[in-house]
This record gives sequence, structure tokens and C-alpha cells, in this order.
Amino acid sequence: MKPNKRKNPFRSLPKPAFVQKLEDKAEAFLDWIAPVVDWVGDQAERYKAASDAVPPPSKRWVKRRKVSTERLTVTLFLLFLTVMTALALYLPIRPTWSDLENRTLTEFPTPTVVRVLNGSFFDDVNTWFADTFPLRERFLAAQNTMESFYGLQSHKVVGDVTEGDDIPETGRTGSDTSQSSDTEETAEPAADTSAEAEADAAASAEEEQPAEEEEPAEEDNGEDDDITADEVQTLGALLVIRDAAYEYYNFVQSTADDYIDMVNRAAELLEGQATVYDLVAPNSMDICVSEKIRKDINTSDQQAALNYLYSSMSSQVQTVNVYDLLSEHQAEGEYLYFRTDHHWTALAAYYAYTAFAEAAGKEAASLDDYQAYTFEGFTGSFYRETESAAMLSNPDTVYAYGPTATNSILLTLDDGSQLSHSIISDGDSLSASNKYLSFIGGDNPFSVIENPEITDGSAVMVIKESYGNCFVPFLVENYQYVYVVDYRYIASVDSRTLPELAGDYDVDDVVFVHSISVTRDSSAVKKLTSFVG
Amino acid sequence: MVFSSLLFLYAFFPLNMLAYRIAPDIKAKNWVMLVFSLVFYAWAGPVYVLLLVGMTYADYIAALWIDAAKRKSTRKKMLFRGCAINLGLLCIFKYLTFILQNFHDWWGFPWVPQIALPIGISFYTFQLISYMVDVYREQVPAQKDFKVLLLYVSLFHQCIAGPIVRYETIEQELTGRKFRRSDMAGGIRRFTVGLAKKALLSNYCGSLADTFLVSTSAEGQLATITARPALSIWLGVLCYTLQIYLDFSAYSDMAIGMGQMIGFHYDENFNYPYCVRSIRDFWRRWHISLSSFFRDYVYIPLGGSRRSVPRVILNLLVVWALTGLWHGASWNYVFWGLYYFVFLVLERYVLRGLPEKMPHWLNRVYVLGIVGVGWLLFRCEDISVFWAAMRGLIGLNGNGFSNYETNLTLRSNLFFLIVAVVACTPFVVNQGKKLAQRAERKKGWMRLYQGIQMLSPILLTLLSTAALVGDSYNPFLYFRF
Repeated sequence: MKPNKRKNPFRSLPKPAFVQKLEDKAEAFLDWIAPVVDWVGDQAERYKAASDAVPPPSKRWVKRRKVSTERLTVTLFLLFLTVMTALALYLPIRPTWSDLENRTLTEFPTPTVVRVLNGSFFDDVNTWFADTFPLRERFLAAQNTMESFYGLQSHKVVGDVTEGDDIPETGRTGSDTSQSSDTEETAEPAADTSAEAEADAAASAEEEQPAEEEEPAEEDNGEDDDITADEVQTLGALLVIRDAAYEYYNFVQSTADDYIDMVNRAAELLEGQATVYDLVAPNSMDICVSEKIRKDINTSDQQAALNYLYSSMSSQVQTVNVYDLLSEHQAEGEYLYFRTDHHWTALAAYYAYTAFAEAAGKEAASLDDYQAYTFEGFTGSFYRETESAAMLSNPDTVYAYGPTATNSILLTLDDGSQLSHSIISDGDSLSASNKYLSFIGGDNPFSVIENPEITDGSAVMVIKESYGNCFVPFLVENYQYVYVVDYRYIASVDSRTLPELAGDYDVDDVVFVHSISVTRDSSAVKKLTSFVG
Repeated sequence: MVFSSLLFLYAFFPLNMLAYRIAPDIKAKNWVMLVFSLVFYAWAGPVYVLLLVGMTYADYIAALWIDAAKRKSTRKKMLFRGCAINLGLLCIFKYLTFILQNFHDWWGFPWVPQIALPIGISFYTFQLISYMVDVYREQVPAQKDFKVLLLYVSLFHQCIAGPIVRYETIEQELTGRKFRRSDMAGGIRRFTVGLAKKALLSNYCGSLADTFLVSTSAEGQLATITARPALSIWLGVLCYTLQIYLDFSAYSDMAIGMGQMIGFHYDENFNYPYCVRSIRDFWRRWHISLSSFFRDYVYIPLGGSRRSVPRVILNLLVVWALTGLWHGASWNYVFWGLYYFVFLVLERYVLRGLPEKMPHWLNRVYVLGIVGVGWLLFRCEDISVFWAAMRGLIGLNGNGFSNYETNLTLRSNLFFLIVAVVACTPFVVNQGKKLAQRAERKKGWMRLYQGIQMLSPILLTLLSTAALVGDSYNPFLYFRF
């Protein structure tokens, strides 16, 4: 890597330490090698002078050498092919699991008469053969290294960029507060946008399996299986800069409006029963990437989007805007977002928690009040998408904070069974790509934490997707009961809607915690709307 | 199975070579090749092996009858019947759905059947036709041994994606070919170069073309392409232009290389078609086996260029409409053929020698501009996407010249693109020849030459393997035809 002397458009980004280190190393290396280069040059000249003096080789010599070259070409290649074939056909060394991609590799297909006759069996054999090729990860790493020489910069765009809608400067007024429309109709606007969202999804063609998935619950719930059917979360296009990636956010007006309607409706249904808080977290694109770069790329302004969302919400909704707060802390160089994963860090979630506490009129606990954990070597979803060598060599670290009063959480799993788990589980025992699962056992339909040190009966319900996972533990300091609902999976174990659940558990506060990506994802908003009822 | 799949590379091909080596004589060797070829063909759907064998058998009989018949009219009748069977089957399997679909769109009926395209049918049908016509023209005797003819048609080197090898070319070698070490070494080099072209360059060019333009399988292509800035579309066209040449010539390289390894010598299919001075020249050097087929079996029988001007133009029209249609049952291929017809007629009657007289740079712009836009048309099965891309090409979609993503993608693939462009020129081959000449004069150069010759096939194969692992979907573009 050559030292980068020209004007660097990414100067405003914090330069990762390893880049600086590499640059220093490269310079030192060049200094060190200079005498060797000179020596080689001298030798080459001497050699040239000497070889000019030698008479040209005889015709016979040339012919012999040519024949021997051919013989050796054939022998070496056939030898190589034999070794490789032996490797490829020796089945026991074939991998069955890819840690890098966090997936089970293709299994050998079962032949059936139909599939053999129409040839799809043979296609599957091809896929199996390639997918489980011996030394697969080595070859992938080699390919990555090769591709790093393809161009000038170590950053790129992965996935198809979708242009966002224009963001209105002022929030909606009028129609949004008149939430008298009946429940069935709220689902309709979502249906209108689903085609668009599907196009988004197809365009980005990047699916992320919900993190902790043993068996997706499908048959549990007969009536609204269309909602539980596709449990995939889509990552948008990514901007990759050196060893970090940032997810594009494209504002989608209709989906944002559906989201606003959903929150407003929740507040209306819960009026007099519980206070509704809405906390939409920006993603790292806006917090970590300088505005200079952002304005040139097709990502929507998240601050404007948040302003639109919040100013359109009815006064019954307590909105918690953490954009400025996170920007300030980012400016201090704090570690708020993972570079190799699309989540925020627990530290960012802590700041969000303080903002929430302020809005709720509670006293936020100090970060020191929590039990701190450190899990190193995290390479998350961005790494899976990009397979970037730079990310692999410089993984993230998961800093987790758990309440001191208890480390116990009761999970309700996808199949409805219950499991007692740790709020912060040992991240060191999780694989490199799964370390974010150390927070509250990953994404489960429903979970409960009880703080034995508080006895006032206070209760909060968090409606979240995975962004909420590292946020939840902080709340334990302020409430006796923390109920956690993952709106994507709740329908498979519990048919109650939000007002019913909130009533049954007698909660005081309901907090929606999302990544901003949810507000452009019509299938997610559809699930939320259906859960709110 | 495709040549650039790991299963082919590390199972089928080595086993084929092993069996071939063990087989004691030419007869046994031919059996080996025949069995492996049929297995190879069956890999895409065993049912169609029957079609392949059936068509070959029909033509085998037809050719024997043509050969045996004394009277010219009988011969002609037999030839006509043989060709009718071939073209009829080709039409049913390749074009019936398309024809009925169009009919359906206009008239609302009939029912449109979905017929899967038997792999390679376009290629082997043409091989069989050339065989029968050559027998009719008494250029070759009819093959008396059915399994030899079947070997010619089904030989896995060229059966499913060309080149369209004429029977005449390998008639001798089918029954009496010799093993030479120089052939083997040359074949290995040729094969591995083709493999690297495909696995390292073409596939990646394809993904770049998808990034710059829009993936041909994506939903909402029109909206996406309309949002692309001009530079993005220019680069997309460049990448697709590179991809299609590298892809197809890679296949031909691999086919020629594998043939050479066991003593078959197929004709060249590409001769640096992007380094040409006119469109006419381009078509002399692009997919030579196809354009010469149309020349010898359609254009010349129609009277070629020795007729009146209107008749020649009509001949060209027929040839180019058919060339377009051969590439696929979709209107954009027909338009693509006619697009070249227009430029060829222009060059023939209006521009005459003008392109060759242009300054070098202008000449490049002229040829590559036409060829590039041609590929864009070729790529867009949906004509509205093509027009949107054309508007974007000249900045009429209002997206400016470039944007950040485009610049970024260009900069981070700059070296790759330079290498890919160089790979379309004879530069590397010329350097290799120079090195070979130097090696004859200096011992030092000889060592370098030896090193490259011996190690490059292995290195290229290893790098290609790395690229193919995890990239299990990479069919050759020309598989569709």
C-alpha cells in the first residue's frame, strides 16, 4: 500500500489505527529496502553486460530446452490436477459449515426420478460440489486479497442503491391525528407500498436471517400467517470505507407515513393506560460518515427524516430524538457503532437510554452502575455482506453492560417454550459473527426481566427489533419489570395485541426502539401495525 | 455442467483425461469421448440426450442417402428433408414459444406452451446442417459409422456452446488423430488461459456491468436504469462489452485447448474483434464459426454479393435478421441483427473505405461506439430499458455526469478494468512471442520463458479456483443460444 499523499476526501473520518500503522510500515519498508533495490539494479546491469559477452545459445540447446519446457509444463500441470482432484474427491475433508458466512453449506442432494430427469438434481450436485469445496475459506480469503488489488481505494459500494423519496420539511398535520379509521384499513396503505418494498428487497438482494433461528415458527398461528411467513430483514446497499461499512437509508414516504400512523394509533389505544415513547435510532451512515461525503451519495438525510417522523406524531407520543446526542458523542470519538455490523454499540444505546430517562422523568443510572463485559473479535453482518479482508483483520469488540441487580431473563422462544437465560451471556463462547447475540439472548418473541431490588410494581414494555437488544438491559435499573416484545416474532407465540398485552401486564410505559431502517421497510411496519391492532 | 465449474475442472475433466489415457487404441478412445460427452450433455437434463441422438441419427441416414443417390434432384430432395427436420426441431424448441407469444399478444389466442430450450441445440443443429450440406456438395463423404458422427456432434468440447466446428475440419482427426506433446502443452496453456479469462475477468466484469447498469434479473429495471448518471451507463456498456467478449472467447479458448490436448484442431473463433477498423472487419473476427456459417450456407447460396445492389441488400437483410434471431428468441436480438445490417450496408455503399481512413482514435470511437451500443441492445430484452439506457448515455435522464457511487466503483476497480481491456488486445500474446524470440538468443531469457510456460497454467488455475469457490453460479452467456 503506497502512502496516500494526495488530498484525501475521507480526511474528516477518523483514520483507523491500522491504516496509519500500515502507512508507517510501508514507508519504513521502502527506506529499509532502498539499498537492496540499488544493489539489484547494479547486479542487473552487470548481468546484462556479462550476458552480452556470452555467445548466443546453439540451436540444439534452444530446441532441447523448448522440448523440456513442454514436457515439464505437461507433467507439472497433470500432477497439479491430480492432487487437486484427489483433494476435491476426498469427501471427508469437505466443510459443512461456513463460519464466515454464518450458514450451513449446501448438502448433497437427494435424487428423485423427476429431479434427475429434468436435470435439477445435477444442478444441485454442481452447487454442492462448489459450495463445499475443500479449503473453501482459504480460497475465499485468497480471492479477497486478489480483489483488494483491483483499484485505488479500499472502499466501495455493495448492493444496489435505491433513491429515497424527498423528505417533507414539515411534519404531517391533520389526517394523522384523526385515527378514527378502523383497524382493518390501517393495513391497506402498507399493501400499496409492498411492491415498492419488494423491489427494494430484490434490488438489494441481500437477506439477513434473523440472528438466532433454530426453527422458524410457521404453523403455530393459523390466521395471520402472512405476517409471520417472511422473517427476513433486508440490509440496504452498503458504503464500504476501509474496514467499516455504512448502511444506506432511503426515505420511503408511504412507509414512513404508515409507521407514524402505527405509533399514533398505539398512543391513542393506550391513552390513560400507558405512555408511549418512540425512539428511532439513526444508523452509522449519518452519525459516523461526514456530511461532505454523504451529500454526494444517494442516502437520505436521517436527521430530516427523524424530524419529519417526530413532528408528524401526535402529542400523545413522547418522542425521543437521539440524533444530536449521538452526533456529539461521535465527535468525541466514542465507539457508537460497529464497523463490521449494522447495529449500534451498547454505549450508543446507553446514551439513548439517558435521553429516554430524561423524557420519562426518571433518573438515568450511571454507566458505572452496570456490570461491564468485553467480548473481542466480532465480525458481523457487514462483514458477511462484504467479506472484506480489512474488516476480518480488524474486527469489532462488543462492550456489553448488564444490570447488577440480576442477570436473569426469561425468554419465550419461537416454539412457545420458555427458557431462563442470561441478560448478558458469554460472548466469548459465541462465534465471531454472532457476538451481538450476547445481549438478551438475541431476538426472541417475548422476554421478561424482573429486578428483585425494586418492588414498586413499575413495568415497561419495549417493542423492538435487534437494535433494542443492547438497550433493554439499561432499563432494569428503573423498573421492576421489563417486558421485551420482538414485534416480528410475537405473533407466533402470542396472539394478543399491544393494548391487550400492556393491559395484562399492567405496564406504565411502552417504548418503541428501532433502527431507522425499519421506517423504510414496509414488511416490518406491516408487522408492527398488525401487532398494535 | 459448464467448463468453469469446479465439478468439471476437478472431477469430470481429470477423469476424462485418465480414461482417455488408459484406453488402448483410437476406437476405445473414441468410446471414452463419446460416453463422457453424452454424460456431459445429460448433465443439463437427461431427456434431451434422446433429441440429440435422434437428430443425429436422422441426419446420418439423410447424409447416407444423399451420398448414395445418383440424381441431383434426389440428392437435393434428401438434403431438403434433412434440413427441414433440423430446422423444424430448432423452431419448435427455440422459437415456438416466442412465435405463439407474439401471436397471442396480437390476437389473444392460442395457448402458449412453455418449452425449455435444450442446451446447445442452436450449435449442434448448425453443425449437422453444415455436415449434410458438405456431403451434398461432395466436399466430404458421408460418415458410414454412426458413432463417429455422433461423437462429432456430441463432443463435449464444442457441443453446447460452440465453436461451430465443421465436420470437414475434423473429419480426419475423428478416426486418426495423433498425440503430440507440443499439442498437449499448448492445449493446457490455451485451456487455462480461457479458464482464467472466464473465472477471473469475465465474471467480475459481469458483476460490474450489473452494478453500473442494472442486473438483468432485477425487478424494476426501468426505474433503476433511469436513475443512473451518464458515466455509470458508459462504464456499464464498457463492462458488458468486455464481459461478452471475455466470456465467449474464454469458452472457445477452453474448447480449442481441450481439443488440442487430445489431438483435435478446431478453427479459431475469435481474432481480437475489438481491435478492428470497421464493422465489417468486426464481423470477420467475432464468432468466426457462426458468421462463416451464415456466409457459406445462407449468404452465398442466396447469390452473395455477385447480384444486383437491391438483391445484395436483401441477401444481407436475410442473413442479419437470421443472425440476430439465432442469438435468442426475443425481439431485441432481431433488432440487434438488423442494427448490424444497417451499419454493414452503410459501410458497403455509403462510407465505403472511410472508416479505415479515419484517424486511429476516431476509428476506435466509431467501431467501439457502434459495437458497445449494439451490446447494450443485446443485453436489454426489454426494449424500454434499452431506450432509457440510451437516453441516460447522452445525459437525458437528468442525473448529471456522475455521482459518488459511480466514481467510487470506478476508482476501486480501475486496475481491474485496465487489465480486462488489455486482455481484449493481442498485447500479452505479442509480449509472449517477443519473449520466445529473446529466449532463443539468451540463456537468461530462456529461463524466464521456461518458468512462465511451466508455472502459468498452474497459477492461473489456482487463482481461477479461488474465484470459482463461493461463486457457484456463473453460466456462460452463450448457453442461452
